[in-house]
Amino acid sequence: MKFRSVVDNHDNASRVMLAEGDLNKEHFNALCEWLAAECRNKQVVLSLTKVEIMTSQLLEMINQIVNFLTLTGNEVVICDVNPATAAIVTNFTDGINFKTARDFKHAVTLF
Amino acid sequence: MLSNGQDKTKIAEQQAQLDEQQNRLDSQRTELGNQQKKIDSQQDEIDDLTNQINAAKFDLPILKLSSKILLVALVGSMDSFKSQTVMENILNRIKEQETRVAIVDIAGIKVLDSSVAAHLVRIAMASNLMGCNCIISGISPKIASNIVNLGVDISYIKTTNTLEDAIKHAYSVMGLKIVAA
Repeated sequence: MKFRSVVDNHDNASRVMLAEGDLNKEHFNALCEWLAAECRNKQVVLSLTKVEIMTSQLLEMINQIVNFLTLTGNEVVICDVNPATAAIVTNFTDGINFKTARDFKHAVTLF
Repeated sequence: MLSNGQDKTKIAEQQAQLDEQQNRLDSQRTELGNQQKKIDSQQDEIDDLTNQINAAKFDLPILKLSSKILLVALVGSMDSFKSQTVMENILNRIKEQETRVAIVDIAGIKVLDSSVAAHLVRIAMASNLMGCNCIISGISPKIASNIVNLGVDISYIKTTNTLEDAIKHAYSVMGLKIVAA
């Protein structure tokens, strides 16, 4: 299966730029398996730079991906959340249970 | 004296007149309904414009304490509309300036209801999502009680009693320390 998300492997962490179109329930397991195989680093930075419109379902999927990657032995940080997305997310949740960073550069300092 | 046939004709004429009046009334009622809808939509537009004017009048000084630290001092009364504006402005500034710490000082706020308290929590949460630490300083006992009553997770929000403590904490996050000269 082809995904629109992009994985870059760097020296210190793998950067995953999640594409909005890949975040759906039908392909969730395949996406997780693909991510686990593609990320060659135990430190994974999930970038939301390609996510323009956040919904509660998308947030739920992102949460599940974070949980999946954490359970498979990775450290995960979310980054590149734009102001509109950040404001919308606060409508869906009472708390954030993952590490967040401004951008990839900031994220790698949190591992 | 009218005959039975003439009676029937007159009644039929009167009935026709009544029906016509009824139809006229119905169409006037429809027209009134349409006008009411138009008035309602114009009222909505006026409300939106009033809110925009209020937002334009509402000055929100966002001070840059250092290249990565912002300070927002909220003063006077706050309502949901103002707190929404505050949130948008702070988040945009965090994005523009790659801010690492945002201090929101609420010591100058006189009245803060639970909806505004909820907005403050949302500001802190949204800032955290963008990778920026948010410190809320100057929380009075009443405001603290309002926030606690919201029943939301506030473990990720750093709060301090005074602005001085908030500034010290902000510098410590940056790995800096304020020392006497």
